[in-house]
Amino acid sequence: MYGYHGKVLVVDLSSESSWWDYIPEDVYRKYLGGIGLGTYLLYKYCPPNANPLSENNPLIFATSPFVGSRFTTTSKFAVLAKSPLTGFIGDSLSSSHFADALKNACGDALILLNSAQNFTLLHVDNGNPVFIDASDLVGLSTFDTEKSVKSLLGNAVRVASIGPAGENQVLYSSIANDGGRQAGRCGLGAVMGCKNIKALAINGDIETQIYDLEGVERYRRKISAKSLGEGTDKYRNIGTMANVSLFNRFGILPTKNFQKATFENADKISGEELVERHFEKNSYCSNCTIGCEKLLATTDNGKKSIGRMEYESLFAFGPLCNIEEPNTIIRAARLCDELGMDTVSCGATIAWAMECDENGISIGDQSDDMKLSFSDSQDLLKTISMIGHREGIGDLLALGSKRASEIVGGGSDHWAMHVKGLEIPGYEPRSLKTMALGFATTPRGACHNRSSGYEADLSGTVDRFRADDSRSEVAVASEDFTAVLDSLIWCKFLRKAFDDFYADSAQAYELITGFDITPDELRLCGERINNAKKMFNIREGWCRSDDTLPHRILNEPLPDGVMPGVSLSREELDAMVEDYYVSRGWTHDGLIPFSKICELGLDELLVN
Amino acid sequence: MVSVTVEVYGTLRLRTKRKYIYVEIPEVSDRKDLAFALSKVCPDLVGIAINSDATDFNDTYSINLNGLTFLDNDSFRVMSGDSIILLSNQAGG
Ligand code: SF4
Repeated sequence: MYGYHGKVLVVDLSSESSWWDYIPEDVYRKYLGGIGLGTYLLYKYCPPNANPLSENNPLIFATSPFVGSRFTTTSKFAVLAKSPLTGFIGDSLSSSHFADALKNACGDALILLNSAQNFTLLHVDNGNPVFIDASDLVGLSTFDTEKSVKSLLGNAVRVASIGPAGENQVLYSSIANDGGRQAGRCGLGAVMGCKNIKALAINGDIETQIYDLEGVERYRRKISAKSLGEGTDKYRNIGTMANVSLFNRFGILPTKNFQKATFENADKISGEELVERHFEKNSYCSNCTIGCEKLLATTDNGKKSIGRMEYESLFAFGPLCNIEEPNTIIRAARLCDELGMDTVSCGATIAWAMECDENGISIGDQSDDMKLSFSDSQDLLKTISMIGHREGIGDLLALGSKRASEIVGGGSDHWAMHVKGLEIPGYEPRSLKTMALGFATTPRGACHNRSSGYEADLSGTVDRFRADDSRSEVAVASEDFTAVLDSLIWCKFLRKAFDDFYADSAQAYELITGFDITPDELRLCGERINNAKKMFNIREGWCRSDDTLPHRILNEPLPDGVMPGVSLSREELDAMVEDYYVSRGWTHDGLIPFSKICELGLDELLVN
Repeated sequence: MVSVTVEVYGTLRLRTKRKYIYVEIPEVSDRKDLAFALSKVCPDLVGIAINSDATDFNDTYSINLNGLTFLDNDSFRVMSGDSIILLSNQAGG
């Protein structure tokens, strides 16, 4: 087989044994790799109704056919498990050298089953797992863990680790690799913590064969050149931080826990401003020509900090918490990376707590010298640290906004800004109606990465203020596109560099694997993968009422922005969701008919 | 002729060192009118956001009136005080 190993490494952490699971060629053709292959494996290895924080939940690291091709932006891997935050499919992507090492050491995926007895460093050397006591690493930040592992095993190993947040099973903890890259969303770090795996160290040299070496080399040069064109200009120069000023102008920048959609101090924290005043250098994943990540340095008199900054972290600790101080935001993002926590869920859960304070609702156990309120940047860092260590109110906030609001009560669920338990990223759904539909329906919860509906809203192909029946087809197409992108895996920031995404990707796939595939067949893979995710959720108890949006979004019109008063009613959302089900070929309750399952070749999952 | 403000974002702002560019265009204009007027006032945009003969915007950029309406190839009407937003098509991320 070309492009794939044809097998995945399964490691049983409790018995300290391992074996290869040989994967039929047909599975690769159907699920491609990355998120798609990971979804297939999750369905297979996760028993129904597994408690996400139990040894029954597998933790899967999946590579892709493009890893090893040296195509720009393709050193990526997917991490999957049943999410402790949502109880549904949890999938997240990360990138860089770890992806290459994973593929050279573990086949097409690494599956961790059961739990180690004590915190363990799992070293996989060319498919052979070695279990090393990690008690010395417990409590270390993700950065220090990586450093310590490398000093123990040498610089040839690539490391993925959890920080204190993952050890303490903060429900939105992340898995970090290669100096701060994060598989951030869905709480997969908590699953790793629950398995008592503090770090993975991987090295290997078992390379896959490439079908058409010369063709791949030609393609690589072509796509690299395109990656340096206008289609990636934003990502190369300011990165996603560029969204702040534009989103503010368009009235789609969630502010004060989604109470508003414009932030009066947006200029102080805009990407343009931060690049001018705080830029240190670009950070590149391995084999990437774009380098979207910007490392920013603090410039005040406090302890110097250098942090990766992207729009979602900036939004979550800035406008969402009504904080205008760039140095605090840089420190907050850095602290999350050290502790190993998703910045979006962390910022959004803190914003929920700030709104509790605004409404006089006690969330308990706040010490006298601490005040967690909007605009007060003083205690933000302290709160983040308390969450990572589950101290004081951090223990409650570690559960995410959904669970915390259920515990606190007092109507605070009305401003818990999540879908299915996953906190909403920085896109205002009331004035981005395609995105609103995507947030409500994507299987992993509120997510702009698995449904890029905002692209239609921000290109004028639809009227972003109106909830109408033009949305469902657009939302479906955007989800399927993203599923292919995340399975092959291309970085999302390369998407504007393609002349024709499906045709270009089909060609690349064929050059690597030798599997002939048409653009339409590739599109069908996207549909299949999204249906497989949905099947997983249905198996785990999904019901129609899960495809919704928070109370605030459906009951409070936006007070500001370019169209004050714009709203999204429950009826409007329900109508869009039903249209979406029709477009997917599902029942009006959002279930997948057996005929559709068979049409997509997903009936094999039911056997599992 | 009507005075409008063109708002510049992202890398264009860094390159031109300007947030706002003021131009005069006909009350009923099209993209060509706007591109041409902008190229005169801010030549730095030519070859980046505006094509080399200043007859349109490059397709990696979009234009939007007052944050409300994206402007396509049809003509559009502007009023004094309107803002035209020049944005990259690499929305979000
Ligand atoms: S564009 Fe950014 S996230 Fe994507 S591969 Fe490059 S550095 Fe990594």
